[in-house]
Amino acid sequence: MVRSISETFFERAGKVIPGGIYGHVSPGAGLPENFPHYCHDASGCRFRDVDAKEWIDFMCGFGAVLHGFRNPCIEKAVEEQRKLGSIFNQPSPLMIDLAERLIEQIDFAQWAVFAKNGSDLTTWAIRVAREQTGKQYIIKATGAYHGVDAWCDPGFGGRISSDRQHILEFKWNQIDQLEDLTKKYSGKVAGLILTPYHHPSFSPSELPLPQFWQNVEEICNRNEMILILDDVRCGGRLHDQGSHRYFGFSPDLAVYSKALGNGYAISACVGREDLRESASEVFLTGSCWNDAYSMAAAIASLKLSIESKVAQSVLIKGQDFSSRLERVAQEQKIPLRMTGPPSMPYPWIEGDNNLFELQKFCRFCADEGLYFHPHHNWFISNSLDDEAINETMDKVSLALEKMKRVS
Amino acid sequence: MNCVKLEARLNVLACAQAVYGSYLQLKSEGFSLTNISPRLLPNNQVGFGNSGLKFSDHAFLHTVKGGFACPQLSSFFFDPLRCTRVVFSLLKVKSVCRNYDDLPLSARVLLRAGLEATVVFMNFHERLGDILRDEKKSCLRIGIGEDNWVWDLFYKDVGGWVVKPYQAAQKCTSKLEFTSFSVAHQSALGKLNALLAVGQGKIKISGKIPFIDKFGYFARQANRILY
Repeated sequence: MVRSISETFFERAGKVIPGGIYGHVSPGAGLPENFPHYCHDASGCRFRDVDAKEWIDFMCGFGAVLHGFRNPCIEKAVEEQRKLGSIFNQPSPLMIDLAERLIEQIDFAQWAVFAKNGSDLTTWAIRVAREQTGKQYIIKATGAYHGVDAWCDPGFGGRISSDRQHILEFKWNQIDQLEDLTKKYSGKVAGLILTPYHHPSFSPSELPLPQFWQNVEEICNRNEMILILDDVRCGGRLHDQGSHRYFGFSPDLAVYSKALGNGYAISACVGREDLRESASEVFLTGSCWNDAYSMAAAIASLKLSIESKVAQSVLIKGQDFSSRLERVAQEQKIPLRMTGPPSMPYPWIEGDNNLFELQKFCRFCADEGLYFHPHHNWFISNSLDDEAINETMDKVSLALEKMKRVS
Repeated sequence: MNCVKLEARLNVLACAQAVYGSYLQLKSEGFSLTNISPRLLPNNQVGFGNSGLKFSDHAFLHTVKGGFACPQLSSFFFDPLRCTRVVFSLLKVKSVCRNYDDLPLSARVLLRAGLEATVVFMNFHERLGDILRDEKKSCLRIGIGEDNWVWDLFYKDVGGWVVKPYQAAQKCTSKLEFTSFSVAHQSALGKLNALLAVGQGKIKISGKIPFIDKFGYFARQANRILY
């Protein structure tokens, strides 16, 4: 496989950027060696790497793209705003439009604030919970990702013991453990931050058990804890009006990002009326947080989601894709099952707890131009059409045959 | 062992264990050497073998960093013959490590040294030791060249994290492969950025990546001390 341009770029990067590339696609993430390092362009559900190889995409910029790369409606809205500018001394009125749209769209929300990344606002939200309750501790699920800040990041560097002194953890779906924590730290827990379902890396996704969310709500109410929904990854892919609607519960605060701007960097936190005063007490700012392009993109993206029933659409497409993929794998005697909701499936091969087989599967699929990530849940974009799904299945069959020959 | 004191002398123990690792590798490759197993002694001293040979922490670290330092002369009064043998063993380890004519041997010895130092950090790092709490069933297989597995790094109830010669019967959960002796050698000498090397395909990783990630963090800590 020719990767010379990609390798040349990586060589240059290594000299000026620590580790060459950081984050999800850093070399340390253990991605297949035939994955490209750099992308050149993208459209719909496909992208081309810098070596001009075309890929069918199943990661959507790690969830940031819901309507497909360079969606015309969203690009048009951004182009309009481009004529006026992005960053000013004051925010653009688009900020109010966006807040109003979110409040109209999300049933429990009565105010909204904006930033750039999920982490900006998950961290801010736990401070709002502390301000509101006057308590210190925050509970989260073990293995859940809530961002890059020291209280929750998955890395080890630069960490000091006090970073997580007031963070408690329980195992997802283990309500008894959550109860025990609230008893042990009675009167000291400010809030509970959870994703709509459990989507750890390197492990199958876990949906909430029946009554899980109802129990969580009840525990929060009883203990006067703020329930924070981290909807950064799932937002827009389970329900157009927030993932809490998909699972039937109501949080106090919810944080969105990723799909919100369809690739334009923006995050939002919405909350209940009784948290408004605390929200205004917790400092919040960033040099480019009032970026009007991203706000224009977010308004267009939210509008499109409602008009085209996008969450429902990606769930249906994901279901079709997942069941066909499972079938193709089973024909080759590979016990592959897709876990999690169909719009954000994560593959799991039974008996392959250390992921050697899944890594091999993704590597062979990458040779055929399929961007399947072995360690992170995949994302279905609304631009994934029948033609792309059919092509994907043909390529998977080919990859599995080659994989079998090598084994 | 007193953890607070050990934390303060972790660098010395890691270096001493690295030297011992080199010795173990040479022994496994048929070299005849006198035992140089290290011990941390009171008063900031480190001893080797059963000879009574000891260095001050400072002198020992100076030796490892490429200089020369005298062992404490009083060591020689107790058992001069054994002391001399231990000194010769230490010198032999040093000469093999620095002789790059036999690259495969030098690479294996240096890598083993680095792995042993890493294991010290994995066992005794007070602040970060708990990130390995859930990894006690993990096993990292380390190899040089395709399918040429050399060591397994895993946890034992007695002894904690250890490095042992590869055994096919040992079930591994992650694999780390240096694609050539040259890559292994450069890596062992701290002349190769491991993350970049993975991105360039010089080092291949597979299996349970979070464990490799944790191992890598400790390995980089060890590397900073050794080089």
